[in-house]
Amino acid sequence: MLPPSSEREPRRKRIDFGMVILIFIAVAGGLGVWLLRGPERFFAILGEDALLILKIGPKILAAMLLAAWMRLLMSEQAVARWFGRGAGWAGFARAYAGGAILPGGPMTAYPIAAAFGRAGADIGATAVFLASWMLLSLNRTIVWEMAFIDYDTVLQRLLITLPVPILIGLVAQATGRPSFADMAEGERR
Amino acid sequence: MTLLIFTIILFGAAGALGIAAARRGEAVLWGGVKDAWGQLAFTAPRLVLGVIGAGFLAELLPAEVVRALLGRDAGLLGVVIAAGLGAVAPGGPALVFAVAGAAAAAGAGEGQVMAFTTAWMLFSFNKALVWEQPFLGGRYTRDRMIFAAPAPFLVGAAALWLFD
Repeated sequence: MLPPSSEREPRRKRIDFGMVILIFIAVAGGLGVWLLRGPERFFAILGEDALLILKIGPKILAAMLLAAWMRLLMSEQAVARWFGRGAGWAGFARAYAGGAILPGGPMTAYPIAAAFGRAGADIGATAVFLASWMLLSLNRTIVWEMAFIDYDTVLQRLLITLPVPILIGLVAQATGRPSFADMAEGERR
Repeated sequence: MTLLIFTIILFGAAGALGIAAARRGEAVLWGGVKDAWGQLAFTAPRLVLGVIGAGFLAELLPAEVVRALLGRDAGLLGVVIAAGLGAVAPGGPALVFAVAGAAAAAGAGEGQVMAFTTAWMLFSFNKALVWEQPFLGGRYTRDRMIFAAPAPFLVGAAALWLFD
């Protein structure tokens, strides 16, 4: 069993740079709309925002619970062994599926990617896993991308990016990079 | 419809894991809830601020400028600009998708929006510095980024070509 993410490195700050920018955009934007478009428009936008938050909120809650239970139920090694097993196309296919369906943000994906090396996955499959998680993560797509961007655009984006993880994996396999020796540098930290 | 199916899958999977956690014992069940609560404390303020900021931003972004730089007619140059902005965009998904949605509402083209989000997915400094470099090493991160570099441009260009 893994320790909960709150006890694991690296620790995330409550207020980080991204948060400061979010605060700035919200405050400056609100001020701008109030002054330029008037209070009526300001409150109308806030009303639309409230509806959107009500729509996304439950999904975020479900995604967080899903990722938290998964971290407690499965070890990184077990996940890496399963999704990193098999050579060639079979290995690629597993890594590809793993990257797309594993819930949770970077605190789930990177420890698993690091465990791929220890579990004996090949370099190409590991690259496929990371690229698939970055580009195709269902969790992030449902919770965040579909909340803000219209569904047709999201679907088109997914369709176009489908082959990209495989291409990156093929390049990694052909060149032997990025290698697990490079990865070990990270584990020694 | 698509979203509904995905949402059902999401809630179904969460429910199934919850049951599995409960079978493993109360400590696992509530440990997960506590862990998720901690994550939520991190995410919820970002979500609320992202939604509010995006709403205001969409109203204020000068449509002519957005359309000229990032609109459909901005073509490949627009894709390059969007990919560059996405690569240096700070913060997590709340900020990036909120800004992308606001830009789309102000007239940015689909291909440009895709180049922006794809570049962030692959190159986010946040992700690279806080997670990838510590876990996988600097050289791994660098090589991975070099291989991924063409992707946002190709995705944006493909979108222009396929869906115009």
